[in-house]
This record gives sequence, structure tokens and C-alpha cells, in this order.
Amino acid sequence: MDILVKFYAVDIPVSLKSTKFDLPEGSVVEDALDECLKLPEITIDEDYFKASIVLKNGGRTHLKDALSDGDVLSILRTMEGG
Amino acid sequence: MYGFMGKMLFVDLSTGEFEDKVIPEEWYRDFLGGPALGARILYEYMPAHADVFGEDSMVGFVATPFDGSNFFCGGRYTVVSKSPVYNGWNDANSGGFFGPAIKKSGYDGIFVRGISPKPVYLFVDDGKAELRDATKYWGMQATELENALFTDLEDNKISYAFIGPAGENLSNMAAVMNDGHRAAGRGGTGAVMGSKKLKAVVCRGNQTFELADKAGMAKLSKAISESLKQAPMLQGMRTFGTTGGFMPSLLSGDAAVKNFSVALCETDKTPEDFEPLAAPMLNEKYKVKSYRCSSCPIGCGAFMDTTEDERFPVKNAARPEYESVGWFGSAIMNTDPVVLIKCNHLCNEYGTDTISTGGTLGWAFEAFNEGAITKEQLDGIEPFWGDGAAAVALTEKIVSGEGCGKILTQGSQYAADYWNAGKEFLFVASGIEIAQHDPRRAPGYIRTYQVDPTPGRHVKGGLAKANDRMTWEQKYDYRVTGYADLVEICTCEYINASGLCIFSPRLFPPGAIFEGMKYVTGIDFDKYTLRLFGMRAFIMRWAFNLREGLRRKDFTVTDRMIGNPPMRAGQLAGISLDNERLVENLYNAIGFNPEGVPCQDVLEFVGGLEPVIADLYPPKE
Repeated sequence: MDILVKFYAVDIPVSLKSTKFDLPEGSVVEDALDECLKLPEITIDEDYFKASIVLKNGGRTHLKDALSDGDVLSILRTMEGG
Repeated sequence: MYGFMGKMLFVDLSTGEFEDKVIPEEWYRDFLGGPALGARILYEYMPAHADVFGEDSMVGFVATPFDGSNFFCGGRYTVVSKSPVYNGWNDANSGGFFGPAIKKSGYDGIFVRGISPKPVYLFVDDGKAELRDATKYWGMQATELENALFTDLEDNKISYAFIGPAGENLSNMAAVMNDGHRAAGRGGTGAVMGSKKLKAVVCRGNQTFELADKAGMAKLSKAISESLKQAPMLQGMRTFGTTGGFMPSLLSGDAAVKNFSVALCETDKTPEDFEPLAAPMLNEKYKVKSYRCSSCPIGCGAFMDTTEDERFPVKNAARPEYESVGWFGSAIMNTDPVVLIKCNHLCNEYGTDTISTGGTLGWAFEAFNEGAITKEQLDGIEPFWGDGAAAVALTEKIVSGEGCGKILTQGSQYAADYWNAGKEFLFVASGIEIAQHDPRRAPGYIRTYQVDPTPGRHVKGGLAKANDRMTWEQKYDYRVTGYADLVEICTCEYINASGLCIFSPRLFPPGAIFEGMKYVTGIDFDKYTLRLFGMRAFIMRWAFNLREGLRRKDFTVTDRMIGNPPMRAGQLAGISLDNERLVENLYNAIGFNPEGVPCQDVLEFVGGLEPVIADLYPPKE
């Protein structure tokens, strides 16, 4: 199934806009994050990356939530300052 | 001592006297610089219970060890004073070039007391200090003042801190500005300068200081340079600055929607509606050039130009930082980037804190839309959600203090009390507005907002930093948070006292921020000494409040901030915070009693706090 991941983060290179993954049926949110961690652009520690706020189709989601074909995940990494 | 100039400049504006003061060397070792050293000095030389606008009240401009050392990202300075907002300790820091300039002029800090009979500015030129007439500058906004100073001093290389009209008008949200549009914004210290008739402090010079290990410093700088090339955050910060944080914050519930009252999904707007305010589109349409602070390899600032817009044309405007985008954007449902840039520019020109200005604007919008205040009270302005023209008109009132701005310029708490209306819409800690970081999204913020010695700050340490590494479930587990809270406090106290940009730990190799201190001052930090330093700095700042008679009960947050009632929808639906438990956990970890008074054992153990011990635990007869 196709899962689209969008990145909204200042610690991920700006060139990485959004990425589509083909994941097996039965995959959960964490599986998509594991795929993201294989991207060379993402050099964040696994634990820290998995602590990102993740939205599924715009709503709050959890690492073990099931994915469906066509889901859109938004990975949000906020920052303080300014 | 390595890394310092070895003296402070004390100025009395009432008598016109100057003094070069040599402070004990252990104060430098114990407090380094910035807010911590500033607190130690004000505790010593400013009497308790001084009227914030009286002769005994002091304002300090405190440099840091890294200022002038060329250590990357180490060019910040701090203003210190009593705050007119909550009558307690205030410190606020800023980048630009003024921190290094203080040291180049010959001093580690400049402290001013007294009240001048007429407007003056302080000129510190290569070790020589002079008070000069500033009558002609009084009333000037930022750009006009800069042009006048550059022309009159025939030098555009000077660096200076100053107040705009807001400081002159004693606005609670008056910032101490520097180098054009940089701001030590929070807590109203600009009004303290205004009360002293001190328009500006101008520094210039070529004084230098010795580094403890020049070769070590050069080696470390090279290592940091190499490391920065690989830092994932570098490109994002360089391209977008903090403004790049707006979209993730809006989507996650961190940024305010309608003054923190609802979730975005409850409104008629979508995230896409706000994309014109996000950094990529701001850059594409309005960016002219980048801006960087002293010794910064990143350059996260930018200048913008909206002169093609007929409504609100602005030249050389600073790109709004994240906090400003939130307040002048989603908090009032404004999706017009030109309105955002104009409101931000007005704050910079008049010299107000964009967070307090935006927070007050957000409150006024909600109070009006909910019928708590009327257009008659707002000089005929009708700030319906999303009305950009009304936002600009009201911001002009707030920063200038004209008409209804006379009330609003004192902040949302003051306005709500004055009109006895809209108190349920306040999003303030001890009366000061909050940054664009909803504590319901990162609950550690609520403890920091409530009982940091400077309430309401997002750039002070605490559990919120650790929240970013936690799962959703872990974040709202309030058991045993004190130690993690304290660890983050200690690191942040070090960052602020050393003069570093708050983003440096995320960009540098591990340990580099402490290694740099060793090469500049010879002071070696390890985990143990960092903990002691952080506790000492935090307690020193807090001790100023204790001496004023303030205790835990005097530091408040509003019901909305703790989710009482909780949000109905969105990412933060159903969340309420146990703020008192978080405070108790910290107090247990740091050794404070339930009222917020440190126990004698802790004070003695941490060391360097003898005057605090003497005040809190006087020897028995």
C-alpha cells in the first residue's frame, strides 16, 4: 500500500519535501518511520525521530496505529526560540 | 582572568558619576555572565523593594565570556532589571553585535541607576564613558535613531542598545532594542530605561582580552565548522530561520489559533490558508537578504521588502521570527503576509516585544469577537477574526500608546483588569503574555512559564526541552519529572550565561559548548559542575524575587493555559495539565520548600550564594 510522508521540520534538509513509501499490508505508523530513517537525508537519532509528533490524515496518531492505503503522515518537529 | 575584561562600568544618572568597578573574581567563576552574573550584581547593589521606576532601580547590560571571543554563536548579551510587569526579576537577551561591543568598549557589563533630569545617551568609547544630551533623539523610532546616531557620530560601526517611543512611554511591553531591529524583548526593561530618561547606550572600541587556550580554541572552531556541514538543521535554519517552525507548530497545536481558544479544525480555515505566512513563501515574495549576528556561522535572520504593496509598504523589515508569525498570524486568523510583516515592523520601530504586543492583540481580538469589549473602547476599530487592517490599526495603537493604546500598551492583563472584561481569555503567566508554545502541547512549558524566575518565558530551561524526546503518553505522565526538569534548567542556565544562541547545542558536536568555555576562560565544566552552576544561576535569579517578598503563590498561570476547560477538538483535545504537581516535582529535585524557598543545605552545597543565605537564614542571636 502507498503511504505519503510529509516532513515539517527544521532539522530535516529542506530538499526532502515529501516521500511515498510502498509498505506491506498490516504496517503501522512506526513502520513508516523506520522507512524514513533509511533515507540518507535523515540523520536524527532513532528515539528522537520517533518522538516526533505524527499526524495521520491530519489527526493525532500513535506509533502502533494501523495504516491504510493512501494514508498521509505528517511528521512535525517543532522548535522553540525567535 | 581569561575571557573577561575584568571590570564593570557603573553609572549614576542622577549625579552624572561614573565608576569602574572590579567585582570579585569568584563572581565570574560562579556566574559567568549574562543573566546569572547580572542577578548577582543587582542583588548586591540594588536595594530590595526599590521602586521599579525610582532612582534606586538599576538596569544592567551584561556581556558574557563568549562575547568577543569569536566562538561560534556566542555573541549574545543580556539586559537585567526589575520588571514593571510583575515587579520581580527580569532578564532578556539579544543577539546582534552589542554583546561583543560592550567588551570591546572595555567592560564586562554596564550598570545604570538614578534618573537623568533630561534625555541622555551613554557613550562608551574605548574605555571612556560620557553622558550626552539625547533630547533630539527622544521620540525617534529605530530606523530614524540609527541614521541619526551614525550621522552624528560619523561612524556606522558603532553598536548600541536603545529604546523606542514605547520605552519612553513606560509601556509594560517596551523592549531594549539593539543594532536596529534586534530585541531583548521580554519583561518591560525598556520602560525602566525610559523612566531613567536613558535613550541609548552606544559602545565602540578596540579593547581585547586574553583567551585561556588560543590553539585549543582554533582547533575546536575547525571541528565545529566541519560538523556544521553535516548538521541537518543548518540548511533549514539558514534558509528559513525560526520562521520555518511555523507550519509544524500550527499543525501540532503548538501555535495559537484564535488566541489559543480553539483548534484549527474548528475554524473555517485550513493549514494551506496559512502557508503564505510560512517561511518558504515569505522568502520567495519578500526576502531581500540574509542577516547574521556576531560570530554566527548560520545567519538565520533576513530582511524583507513589501514596498510594492500599496496598503502597508515597508522597506528593510526584519523577517518575523516564529513567535511573531504565530501571534500576528494564526492567533488572530490573519493569513495576509504583508499584515504580518507590517505588525512585526511596527513593534521593532517603536521598540516593543512582539510576544507581548501580539499576545495583547490576540486577547483584544477574542475579547471583541466574544462581546466582552466594544469598538467604542477600541477607538472605533472592529477587530473581527482575520481582519488584517484592524490588526495593523490596533498594533499601531498598542505600540504608540495612543488612544486605546494607552491601556493596551500595558498588556492584556492590565487591559482586562482596567475594563473588567475578558479575563477568561487571558493567556498570561503572572500577567505577562506567553510565546507561541502551547503548554498543553508540551506540558513542561507550564512549569517554566509559571515559576521560572522570569515568568512566561519559552527560552528558559525546563522539562519542555525533554518533552520533545518523549512519546505522547510519556509527556503527560507527571510522576518523577523533577530531575529531568532540573537537568534541562541547568543546561539552559549555562547557555544563557555563556552568551550562546539557544540553537547551538543542536548544531554543535556533543560537548563543544563546554569545551569552548575551557578555551576561553579556563573554566572546565563537567556534568557535576554544570549541575551546580545551573542550580546556582537559577537560585540567584529566583533569590531576587524572594527578597522582594514574592513566593510560589505569587506566580500564576491562567485556567486556559492548563486546559481548564480542555480543548474540544484537534491535537490537544481533552488535555488538562497538572501544573502544581510539576512545580512540586521540581521543588523536590532542587531542594525548595513548598513555598519556593531553597533550604539552607542546598544553598550551602551549591556555593556562591552567601548573601542569599544571609537574607533567608540570618544567624541566630
